Amino acid sequence: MNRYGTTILRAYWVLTLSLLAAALAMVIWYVPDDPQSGPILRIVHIHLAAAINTLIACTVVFAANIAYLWQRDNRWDALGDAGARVVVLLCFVVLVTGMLWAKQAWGRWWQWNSPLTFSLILWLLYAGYLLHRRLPHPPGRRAMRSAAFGIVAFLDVPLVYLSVRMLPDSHLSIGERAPETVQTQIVWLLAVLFLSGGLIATRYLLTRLTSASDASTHAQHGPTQRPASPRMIA
Amino acid sequence: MSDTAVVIIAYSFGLMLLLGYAASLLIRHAQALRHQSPPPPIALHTTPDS
Repeated sequence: MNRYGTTILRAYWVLTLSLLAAALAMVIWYVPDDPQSGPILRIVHIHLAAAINTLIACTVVFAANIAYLWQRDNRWDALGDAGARVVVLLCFVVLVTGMLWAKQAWGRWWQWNSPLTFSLILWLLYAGYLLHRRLPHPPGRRAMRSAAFGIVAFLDVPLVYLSVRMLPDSHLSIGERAPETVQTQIVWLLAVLFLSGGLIATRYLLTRLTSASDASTHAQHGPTQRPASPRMIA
Repeated sequence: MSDTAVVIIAYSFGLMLLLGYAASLLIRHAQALRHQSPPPPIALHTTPDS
C-alpha cells in the first residue's frame, strides 16, 4: 500500500469518526423523547443502524463467497473473512441493545419470537463461520469449505428480514415518529455504514499485507527459518 | 435502572466495541506497513586507507 492509499484510508476514518460524533450529538441533544415510551426509544438509532448494516455485511460475505467459488482467488476469501468479522460484531451489538431495550419495555431480557431467534441464529452461524476458518484443514481446502459455509449461513438473512417485516411489534423499530427521529436515524445509518465499510476495508488490507509479508519472508528464509511476521507481532 | 442509564449503557457498549475493534485494526495495519517498508540505507564509512 503506497503513501497515497494510506492518506485515503486516514481521511476515510476521519470522516467516519466525524459522522459518528455528529450522530451521537443528535441522539443526545436533537432527538425529542418519545411521548409514549420516553427516553428508552433512543436506543433504536444504534440498534436499527447496526441491524441494517449487519444484513449489508452478510450480503458482502455472500458475494465474496460466491466470487471465491467462481474464481478461486484468495482476495475474495480475505474479503469474506473481513466481512464475517463485522457481521459478528454488528449482530452482537444488535442483540445486546435489543435485550437492554426489551428489559425496560417488556420486563424481560429475551422472548423466543421469530425475529429474535433468527437474529441469534445469524450471529451463531457467522461466529461458526469464523471458528470454522480457524480449524485445521488440508492445504487449499479451508477457503473452499468456508465459502460453502458462508453461502449456507446467508440463507438465514432473508428469514431475519421477513420475520422482522411480518412481526413489526415484536422488536425495536422507529415506526411513525417525529422528523427529528427520522433524520437522526438516517445519520446513524450512514455513520454505521461508513464504520462497517471501514472495518471491512481495513481488515481486508491487513490480511493482504500480512499474507504478502509472510510470502516474501517465506521466499527469502524458507519455511524453517522464518522471522517474526506482523501477524505474530500483533 | 432508569431509562436514561440504559440508553447510556447501550451506546457506550456498542460504540466501545466497534471503535475498539477499529482502533486495534488500525494499529495492526500501521505495524504491518512499518514492517513492510524497506529499512533506511546504511551509510558505509570508508577510510582512504581501505
